Amino acid sequence: MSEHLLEVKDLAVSFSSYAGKIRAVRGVSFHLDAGETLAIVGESGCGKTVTVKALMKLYGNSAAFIEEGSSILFKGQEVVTMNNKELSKLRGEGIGMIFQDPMTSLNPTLTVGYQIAEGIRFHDKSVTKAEAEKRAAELLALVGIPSPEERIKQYPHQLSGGMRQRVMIAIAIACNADIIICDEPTTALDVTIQAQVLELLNELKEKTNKAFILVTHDLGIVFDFADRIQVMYAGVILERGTKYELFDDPHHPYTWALLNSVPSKQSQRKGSLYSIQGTPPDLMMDIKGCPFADRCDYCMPICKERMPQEIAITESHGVSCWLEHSMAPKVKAPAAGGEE
Amino acid sequence: MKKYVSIVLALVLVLGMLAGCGQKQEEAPAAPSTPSTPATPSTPSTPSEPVKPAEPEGIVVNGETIDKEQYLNVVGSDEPGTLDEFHNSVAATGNILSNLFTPLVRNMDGVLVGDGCESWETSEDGLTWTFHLRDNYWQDGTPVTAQDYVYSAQMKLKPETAFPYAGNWYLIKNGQAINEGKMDASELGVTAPDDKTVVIETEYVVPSLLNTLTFYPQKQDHYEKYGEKYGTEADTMLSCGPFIITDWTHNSSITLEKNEKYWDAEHVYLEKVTVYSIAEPTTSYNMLDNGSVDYLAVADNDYIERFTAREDLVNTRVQLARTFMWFFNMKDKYFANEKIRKAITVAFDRDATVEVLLGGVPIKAKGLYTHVMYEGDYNIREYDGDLIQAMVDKYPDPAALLQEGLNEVDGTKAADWTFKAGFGSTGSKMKEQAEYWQDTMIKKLGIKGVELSFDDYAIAMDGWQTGNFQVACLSWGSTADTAYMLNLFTTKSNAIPVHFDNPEFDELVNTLNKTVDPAERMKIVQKGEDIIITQNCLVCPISYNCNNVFEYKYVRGVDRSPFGNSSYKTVYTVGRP
Amino acid sequence: MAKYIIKRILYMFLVLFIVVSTTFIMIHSIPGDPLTATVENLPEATRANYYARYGLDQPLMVQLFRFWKLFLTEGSLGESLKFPGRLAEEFIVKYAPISFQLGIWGLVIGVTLGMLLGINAALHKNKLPDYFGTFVALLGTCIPAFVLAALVQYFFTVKHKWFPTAGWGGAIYYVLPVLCMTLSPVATYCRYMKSSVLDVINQDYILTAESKGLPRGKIIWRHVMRNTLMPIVTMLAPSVAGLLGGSFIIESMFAIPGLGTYFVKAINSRDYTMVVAMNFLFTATYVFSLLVVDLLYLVIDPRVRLEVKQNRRAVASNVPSEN
Repeated sequence: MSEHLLEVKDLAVSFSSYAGKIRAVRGVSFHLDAGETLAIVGESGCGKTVTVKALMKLYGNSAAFIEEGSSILFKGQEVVTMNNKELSKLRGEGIGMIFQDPMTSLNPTLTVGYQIAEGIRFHDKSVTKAEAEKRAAELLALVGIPSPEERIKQYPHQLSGGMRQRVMIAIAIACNADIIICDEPTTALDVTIQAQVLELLNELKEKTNKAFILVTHDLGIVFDFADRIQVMYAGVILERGTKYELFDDPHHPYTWALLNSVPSKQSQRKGSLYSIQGTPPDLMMDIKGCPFADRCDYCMPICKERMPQEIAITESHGVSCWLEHSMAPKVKAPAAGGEE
Repeated sequence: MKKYVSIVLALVLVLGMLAGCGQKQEEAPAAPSTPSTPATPSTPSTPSEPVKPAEPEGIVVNGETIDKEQYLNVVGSDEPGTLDEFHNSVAATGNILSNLFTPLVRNMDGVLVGDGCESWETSEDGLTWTFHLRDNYWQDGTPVTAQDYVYSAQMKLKPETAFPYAGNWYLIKNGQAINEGKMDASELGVTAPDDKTVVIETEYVVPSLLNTLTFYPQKQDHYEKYGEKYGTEADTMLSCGPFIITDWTHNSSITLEKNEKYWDAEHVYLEKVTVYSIAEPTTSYNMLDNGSVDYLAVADNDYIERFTAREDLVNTRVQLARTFMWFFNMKDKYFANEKIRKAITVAFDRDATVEVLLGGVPIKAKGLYTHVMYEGDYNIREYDGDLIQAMVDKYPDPAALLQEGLNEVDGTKAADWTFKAGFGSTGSKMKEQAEYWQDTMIKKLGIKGVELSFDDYAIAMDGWQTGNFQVACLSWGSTADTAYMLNLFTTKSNAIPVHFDNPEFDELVNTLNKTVDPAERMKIVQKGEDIIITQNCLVCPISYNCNNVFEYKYVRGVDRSPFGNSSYKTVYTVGRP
Repeated sequence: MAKYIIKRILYMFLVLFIVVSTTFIMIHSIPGDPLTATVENLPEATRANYYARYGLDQPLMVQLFRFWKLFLTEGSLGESLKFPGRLAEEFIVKYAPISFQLGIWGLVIGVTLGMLLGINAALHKNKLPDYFGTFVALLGTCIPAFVLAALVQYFFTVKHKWFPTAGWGGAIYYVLPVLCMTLSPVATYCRYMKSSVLDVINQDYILTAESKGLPRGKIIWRHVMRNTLMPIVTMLAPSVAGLLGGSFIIESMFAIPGLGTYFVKAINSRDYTMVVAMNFLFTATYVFSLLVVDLLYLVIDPRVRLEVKQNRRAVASNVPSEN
């Protein structure tokens, strides 16, 4: 078996809280190869952000921890057991991250130049301050910020939201990370700016051989950007596949629902947008069966009893749903609204 | 209480500049022979035995070989505001001045000893005093002259000097007129017929003049050289007394060193005295505790207990001429009634106040005058007896007496009656005392209650003087002048604002002022106290204040003059560790 | 920027004038005078002489006018009543530095320790350092200065004669007073720093910094500290201003010739001149420190800098339209 750039196996992440353990990610496995883009899709709180943060053990001040038995192999190295020094190297050099809200993700009291150069200088001690600044300016130019020499001396509040997100991108790619994680990179931006940022990301993708992980709840941007998609729900992956497989031939009722809830000309014409009834399960609880069972229009008794195994549709397309079982009734996906 | 005591102590010391009284209780009551017999010229004696020629083993005083290193550390309570005697209005100044200057006469442990003068005499009518100066020199080598004494006295009464204590000097002839700007200062009854003679004339007979006022010399040209700045720093001072001031770290400490030019330098043993300005009692207690100071007046019960247990400390109780009292507003509807005043005075629980609330330090009051006041040879307190006890015996049922009084006023039932008591302190100890008294008044008189109010002293006094009170509490110090206390209650005086208006009493005080014979005077004083306490009960005396001094056993010769400021002139140490 | 500063300074003088004048009127209106508390036998003539000498016989407004005239023409705050012959400003010049020296030591040590404890508590929330910090903060808040001073004095000068009880001189006299003055800032700043750090540490940009691979120390130093400084600086200004006045309790406890004791004595003895002068000093230092804080904001927080510029522009553009 050829070695992937990133190989995640049975990753489970929990938070300890006064009320008990919150099991945010309940065993997900996936892999990523150089140059490809993986999108993780799901509604808020499904564990997608926690999953990607876990890839570089980035919990900030929260009480999150990776459960035993999890494995994250980056270039064959186990991330879960990394010490602080190894982690420092992994972050920035191995994996870079772009956060959701550029308004709050930059330190208001430091110049953007400093914030870009800081990582560069930390990872390569031989770089002088001047060189790092020069590099920062180049990066700003690369992410499409005009007059970068001036901009590096400016503070975040002097930049617009879109520009700040570009700065964030510059920070993420500053140390030539192999994987760039984009955590809802456009959610907090204006629609016009969203497009520009996505375009920039696309450009970067083409120019470099970096692997991208896109975390989003917005299926609209996924198709343009991602190679492969995996759908997460309540801390587990329900369906995975290439974007074509997922968009053209979705197998999981949740994926159907997701695709249906994307605004399209069709749905607009009908005057209503599909919304999934109910709420996701409480993550403090043990979930015996399929986590989506309670909200699923096609729920069967088995669904509430046991979690289905992933069934491979093709080599790249897999789905965890009892409907795929030979004994299950054949159900046709409702007309999807995602395709145009 | 601590705060209150410190205020009281401060007041004591302020007054101390003019007077002060102490008596070692432990010593035989055959107290200081005749502290205020003026006619006897004092022997310019040395307070202790002649010093033997210095021997290798050291100087011997009173049969003891004194320590080689002679120094003293004391606490001078507050920071002297200024060492300019004309502008001083704070406590600690008097004691320092007494070490820097030669008063005409110095009260040393109760005995009047000529310091600036060699001898003195009084005229037949008791109004004129003549002092013969001795040869003494200022620090700069110039002689101290009679003019220096005259200058000082005149300055004190000149209106433009604005000497805060000028009122006490009104007993000097023309003093009041000068202070009121009606007469020139040269008319003052302090004159210098020649360089070596000072003549003092008084407005009325003041047998205890030398315990009442302290006459210091002041060198005019030196004083004028510094003007406003005189007395503000150590180097503006010019001494002629036993010590000179060498350092003054404001609000921290004053250093005195022996003045070799002083006429009696031979009998000054201390080379250096450090007087700390410590405002916080706890700090001074700690300083005594660890030996940073050599003696100290202690007012806090816990510390008194602690220090009493120490074997290396001697406890001395120094009684002061200060009376702690309640006083009544004669203008008030209820307190104009004598029976009501008496009922409260009788009901007052002095035993518990002294023993419990005040830690047994003060002495239970028996009348207006304290035990340290003398009229000639007569101890006023012994002569007059216990007026308070007599009143208590006479009215065994104060509640009934009160009701009688109330019936005379408006027939209010005692059970419905309350009165207001004001206090010139906001300290917790004062409150504790007041609440105790409130309680006993309610219990003993069966009244509904006592309204207590606490104010800063100046604010409270302001209200009392305008007659806005029923009962108020204060402590008042007396000078050695027996007329002083009586004068407080004359019609024109508003010092203790009882608003007592009695021509007969005014006349009595007037007579006293003209009387020379001690026996006669004693009778008048007795009559006066009878009017104030027994007949009218203007005040309800509580206790007589005392300084509770703890002193290390190696300290000798501390001067506890009943009146006047103690100097460190006679102090020395034997066996300081 | 210069315009902004000049405006602030003018404003500062206005506040100073109003506060000091108000104090002047208020302190003169309290019943009692400098003589009441100390002189028992006080004939009217003597009181009148005294009033005349110090100008207290004049109407209050005349006195106030004289006060400002004296200040503006001679730069003097007047002669002390309790300490005759000494000018109020002499006290300030001479004793404020002593109070300030002590205070600045107390504050520097206290704030440093407090901040360290606070940061440590925040970084180890619900662990030992956090409990320790909370404990210290609680102690510092609960123990009044005089109790602490009394304890410290007893322990270090009576029980163990390691330090002089009271007085002023060499470095050794600093130790206990400074120790006593440290506890309160330790407590305050520990608490404050903890909440401030907790607040900052949960900010998104800290996660950004972490994602760059920066080690914890560097993140705290570069990203957390700077952003926690704002509230600290805001608090620091009045603290520093207060230092000049000194701590009455500590100074009187250790017989330190600072301004604190003078101030309290001045109020008790109705030393009008001193009260007004002290008030002048406090107000002046306070408003000045506020100005300094505002300027510090400019340095620390670039956002404020921009606002000032924008305001200026706004003001500038408003002027013609108003005309």
